[in-house]
Parts: sequence; C-alpha cells; structure tokens
Amino acid sequence: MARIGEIVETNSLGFVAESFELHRPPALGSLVRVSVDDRSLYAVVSFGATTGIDPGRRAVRRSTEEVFDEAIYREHPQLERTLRTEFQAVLVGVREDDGPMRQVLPPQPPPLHYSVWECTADEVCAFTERLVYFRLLWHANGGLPADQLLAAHIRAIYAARGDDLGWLEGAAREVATLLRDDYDSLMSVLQGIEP
Amino acid sequence: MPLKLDVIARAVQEMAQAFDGDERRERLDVALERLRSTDPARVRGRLDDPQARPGWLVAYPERTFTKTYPLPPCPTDFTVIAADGSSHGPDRHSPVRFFVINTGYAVLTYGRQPGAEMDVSSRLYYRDEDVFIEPRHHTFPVEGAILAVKMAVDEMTALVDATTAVSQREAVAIRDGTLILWGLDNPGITPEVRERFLSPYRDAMRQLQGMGIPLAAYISYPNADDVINTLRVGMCPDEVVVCGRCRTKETEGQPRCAVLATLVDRYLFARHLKDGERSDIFRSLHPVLKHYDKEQIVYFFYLNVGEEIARVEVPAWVAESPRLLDRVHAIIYDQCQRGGGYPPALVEAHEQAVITMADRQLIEEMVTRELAGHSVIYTRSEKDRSKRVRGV
Repeated sequence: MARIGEIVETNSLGFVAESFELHRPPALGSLVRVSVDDRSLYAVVSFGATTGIDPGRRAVRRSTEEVFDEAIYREHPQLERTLRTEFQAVLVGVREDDGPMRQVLPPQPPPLHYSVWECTADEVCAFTERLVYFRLLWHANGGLPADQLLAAHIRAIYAARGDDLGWLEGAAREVATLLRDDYDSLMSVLQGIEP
Repeated sequence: MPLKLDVIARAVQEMAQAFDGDERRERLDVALERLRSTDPARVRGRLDDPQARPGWLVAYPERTFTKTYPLPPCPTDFTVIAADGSSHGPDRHSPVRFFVINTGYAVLTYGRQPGAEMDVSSRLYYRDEDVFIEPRHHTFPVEGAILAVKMAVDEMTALVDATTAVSQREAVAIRDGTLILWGLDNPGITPEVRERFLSPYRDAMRQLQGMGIPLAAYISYPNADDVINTLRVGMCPDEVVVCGRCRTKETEGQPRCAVLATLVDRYLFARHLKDGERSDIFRSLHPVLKHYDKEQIVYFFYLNVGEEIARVEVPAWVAESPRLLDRVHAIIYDQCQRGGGYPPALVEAHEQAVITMADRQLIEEMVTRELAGHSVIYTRSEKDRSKRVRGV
C-alpha cells in the first residue's frame, strides 16, 4: 500500500502527519498504519487541514474573473511549495510482530518523521473484527466532535469492507452500548451511519 | 523611558505642514515639460565633453527621453529565476568575528507544465580574508556597504546555480535591488579588493549571458534621480557643465536647474507612463561601472507595473536586444500582476533567504557552545550585556 504522509508531531494519544498530496489527506475516519521495526501502530484519521508552511504567511485571495479554483495553482506554481496539508490521527491499536491485533494505546508514541501508510483491505478487516477501540475513539480529543468522528469512521470502514451490512449492524450495537447514557450522541451517530 | 508621544505627535503635524504637495507638483510640471523638450543628442554631446563634471549621478540618454513602449505579449511557457539574500552579523560586540549569508532562490515555471523549485544555501564566513578587507592588519571589516556587495555577489552566483532547474527556453533571471555594486566605489577600496568581489560577480554575469538568460534587477519604489539629473544637465546655460563652477549660482543666487532638485525619477515617470508601459533605456554613468565588462554595463528603464513605477536594470547585452528587453518587460509586468504589485519569484526567494530571530539566536547558541568546547568563554561587550539585561 501507499505511503501517504510523514509524522511531524507525535504523542501517546496520536500524531500529526504532513500529507504527501496537497489538499488530499486520507479520508476522515479511515484507518492508517505506522510501522516501527516489528511493531505496527494503528490510528484513525481524525482531522485534516491545509495551511501555509510558514505560520506567519496567511493565504491571500488570488482569484480573478478568468483564473479561479484549480487554475490558480497553475498560474501560481509556488503554491505547491508554500502550502501543506496535514492530518491528525488518534491511536487505536498495536500489533507486535505477527501477534494479535490489540485495541489499546501503544507503549510508545510513533517516532517523528516516520511514514504513515494506507492500510490494506485485509488489515482493515482484521483490525475491525473487534470494536472495543470505539471507546478510545469516543474519548479521543482529535479536534472533531466525537459523534462525527465515530460516524465518519464507521462509514469509512463499512465502505472499506465492501458495504458489509453485518459489520455495520455490529458497529451500531457497539455504539448503542458505548452511548447508552447519552441519547443525543447515540442518535447523532446512528443517523450518521445509516447506509 | 517610553517614547514621548506628545512631542512626536506635534512634530508629525509640523512635518505634514512643511510638506508642500502643491509646490512639488509645480516643479514636477517643469520636469515633465523638460522631459518632453530636452534634446537627447544635445545632452549626450554635453556629457561626452571630457571637461564636463556634473555634480550628481546622471543617466546617459542613449536614445530618447520620451519614447514609451507598450506592454509586449507575455510568452505562454516561461521561467522566472529569482535570488535574494539576507545576512546575520558581523557583530562588533562579539569576541569572534563572523557573519552568515543565506541566499535563497526560486525557479517558477509557468505555462503548460507549471512547477516551482526553491532552496537556500547558507554560508558562515569567519576567515580573516573573508571578514576583513585588509586581513593582514585586521582593518576595514566587511560590514555595511561592503557586506551588501558580498551579498549581491552571492545572489548573482545563486542565480547561475539555479539555472540548472530551468526547463523553458524563455527565461528571465531577476534579483531584488541594483546591479551596480556601488559599495566598491568607496574610498579605501583598492583595485585588488575590488577585483576580489567583482571577479565572481562578473563571471556570474558572463555565465548568464552565455546561457542567453536575460538578467534584470528589480527596484520597487526607487529613489533614483539619474534622469532628473540628466534633465538638469540639459537646463545648464554654462558652456561646459561643471557644477563646482556654476555661473548661475553666482549671478542668480542658485543654479538654474535647482527647480528640479529633490525630485526623483519615479514621480516623473508616474506622470509619463501608462499602466504596462516602459520608458526608453538609459545608461547608468556610475563610476564603478568602468570596471565592468563592456557587455555588462548597467542600463535601466522605468516600468509602470500598475501599482507603482519600478526601476528595472539590465546589462548592456540585454539592453541592446529589443527581443530580450521585450521579454524582460512582459515577464516582469506579468509577475507583478500575479504578485499583486511585486514579483512572486522575488517574494519566494526572499522567504527562502530570510533569517528569522529564532535562527539568529540558534546561530549565537551554536557559536557559544562550540567556543566553550575550545575553552573560549563567549563574553560579549559590557555595553551589549547592559542592553540585554536592562537592570533597574
């Protein structure tokens, strides 16, 4: 699978990575992997943003009557080098060597400057067989409302598993258990994952 | 103590009252009339007189004073190469003498295959021969105007290095500032020292010429008055222009040309050039240019970029080619439209080159640490220490 980014901030709960493609961070809620020696760390994409590389330089309006949207990037080629797209991901699991997928926080945060990879379909299926990590996702402070993040993740995995309805029903039940004391959030997630 | 704002505010009011816009407009009318009526051939004759000694820097009117050139069409596929530099140090309060020059470049390609290449090269200068003009006696430190010359040399070399990233046939190389290394005209600069700086500069200019990439220096909001001064030469009633022996100053109390004094060229061309137009070319008569190659002597024109009047300097080999002049004219105007009044290639080169406050502190820390490793305690001057500590 493809390398999609490089870690530029990291801690025990998650990381920030710079996307290799401008404007195209991995889809919100998708599962990504960081490999550190024999250990694989799994994380869910929780936020994306595109800004100037230099925090002191704000974007300015560049469109004209004739030049707008994509054409702006053709007419101002330096933008490809002065902007960057970042994404955040929350850590949800770890796998040592060929051991089992464990849905816990890893013992160490992933190292800075390590690569972030897309997960293969097999990895996604294997990791999402169990859903106890929903709790980690629910409590993650990833910059997005927790119900929206959870719903986005469930939608992304449902699609990645080839519209697996059985899995979706299981996910809905897991959410119902997790949010049994929070009716509003529960309804919000359930509405968000309706196929 | 804080700034005494009440005093400053009163002075600002007085300053604004003292600025007489009407008076300047009237003198500008005279200048504009002189621009249109002065015969360039006659002025050339007066400047060619070996006895002529104008008191100021003048521009040689190679062709006309008044001709304007409309905006030529911009090529579809072209590349702009830009370089800019910044420096840290030297610091006379420090026990070691060094400075850092950071030279950034940007190569922006437009058209069917747009692209951008940007990078920076950083260099620390510390050897005696780098930091002193007279290394044997440790006198004449490289700073101020000479440091600016050193930066200009490094920028010119960076432009040449950046040409490896050029894929388009139609390219222009631009630098911010002037092509005239005026700092080398200072007293105390021996021919040997001048050559030390000029030689790599000249080589770089030759290389750009060899590659057929026109070079241009871009000056935003220029304060030059060479053309105004040339018009003053045209007004001189004396047989030979020798300002030190001005006759009207004796008979009329002030030189007849004084009506044009304190005006600058950009006021004049702001009235003369329409949006997109450039002026005719003029040759700089700066004394340092006699040490340049004949083909690299500096010419300039003024260009109305829409937002302001810019001065564009080019070497002789570009000035003599209408095709290359048109290319420089069209591409620089296009750059200014893309950049909202200033070329984006220069902005990006500057952004690469800029040394931030944090970078400066880091350099100082690295120097302190390394010197400590060699048992040199990095003590700064007491004056500098007192400014940093600011005790009460």
